[in-house]
Amino acid sequence: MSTARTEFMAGVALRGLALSDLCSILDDAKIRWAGLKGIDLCHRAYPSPLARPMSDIDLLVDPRSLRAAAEALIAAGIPEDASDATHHRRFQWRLGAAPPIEIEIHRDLFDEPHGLPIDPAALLDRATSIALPDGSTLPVLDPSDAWIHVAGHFAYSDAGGVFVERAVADLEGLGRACALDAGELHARAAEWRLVRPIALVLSAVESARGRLTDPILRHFADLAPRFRDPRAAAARWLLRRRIERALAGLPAREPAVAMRALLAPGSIAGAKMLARAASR
Amino acid sequence: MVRFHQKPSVAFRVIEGNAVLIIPASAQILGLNRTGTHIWTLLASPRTAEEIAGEISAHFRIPLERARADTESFLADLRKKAVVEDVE
Repeated sequence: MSTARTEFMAGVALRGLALSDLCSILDDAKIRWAGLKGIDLCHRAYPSPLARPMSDIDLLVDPRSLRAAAEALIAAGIPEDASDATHHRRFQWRLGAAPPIEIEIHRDLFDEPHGLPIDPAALLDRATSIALPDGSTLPVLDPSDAWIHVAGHFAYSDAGGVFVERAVADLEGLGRACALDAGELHARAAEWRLVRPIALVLSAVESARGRLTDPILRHFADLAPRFRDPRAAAARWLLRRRIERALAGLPAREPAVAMRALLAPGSIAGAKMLARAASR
Repeated sequence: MVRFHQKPSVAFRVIEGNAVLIIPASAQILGLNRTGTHIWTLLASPRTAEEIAGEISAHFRIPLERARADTESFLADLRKKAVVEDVE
């Protein structure tokens, strides 16, 4: 194996070891949890976990268990890392002198306040699990919840972000692998009030990089013309600009928090986000 | 006869048929090919070089002499990298 591949594989191996450790710690502490984003998608949406790079491990716990989860990790010798995020706590799992693995324990799916009617405890109630190649199991969100979370995260947290192609591949892969249905996803997105942000971001992706072929992505992108208000037009224009810059490898000019304010469902949350963006 | 065994301090994962060994103290990483991974897996319990060579010969359908030479060379490398220990 080449050095670069060995190092890449070592990163995957370390994440696998960290995940096994976390699984034991949280299960022993009787904390309900589910893997989010990369650690889930690399197993469910791609033919090989090697095909989906990730920088950290994201886990969702019941909001009432965040403190207990943090205490369990700290008691197990996993130190907490400073974080300014509102909805998660960050830890560094270490194996000797090997590079640390970043762990984020989330009590919610998006930065707070997000104004979205999402109940993390309900998500954990309908969570499922997948078998990993080493014979262990990984608790993960229901496939429709996972799809809406990834799409919502792309729209709402990353606001187009820097990982455009990866987000599209994540959504296409998960939709295909789990045989998801556009109508069902639409209904779930509507429950979370995320139809508008997902439609706008996918429409902006289509404008920036060409026609989307995946039927589920197409379904949402085709909904964008329904949103004709000035905030939606501004959001779509700015999203497209952010996505074009991301595809060109350039940093975004607009803070994601301001984008979230435009995408937020016309709410106090949007106003709070604008205030936060203005104060930075 | 000397038997070899995985050192308990060495962490590893098998990813798509290839083992990646991580030595925590030094953060040294060792990537193994499929044959190496097969031998590493056998070393989960103490084995002699001769036992391993026999397994490799049968598994990969190669002459015992070649399996013996490959196994000895590989075990010497694992010893040098301090990822296996000798068990009496």
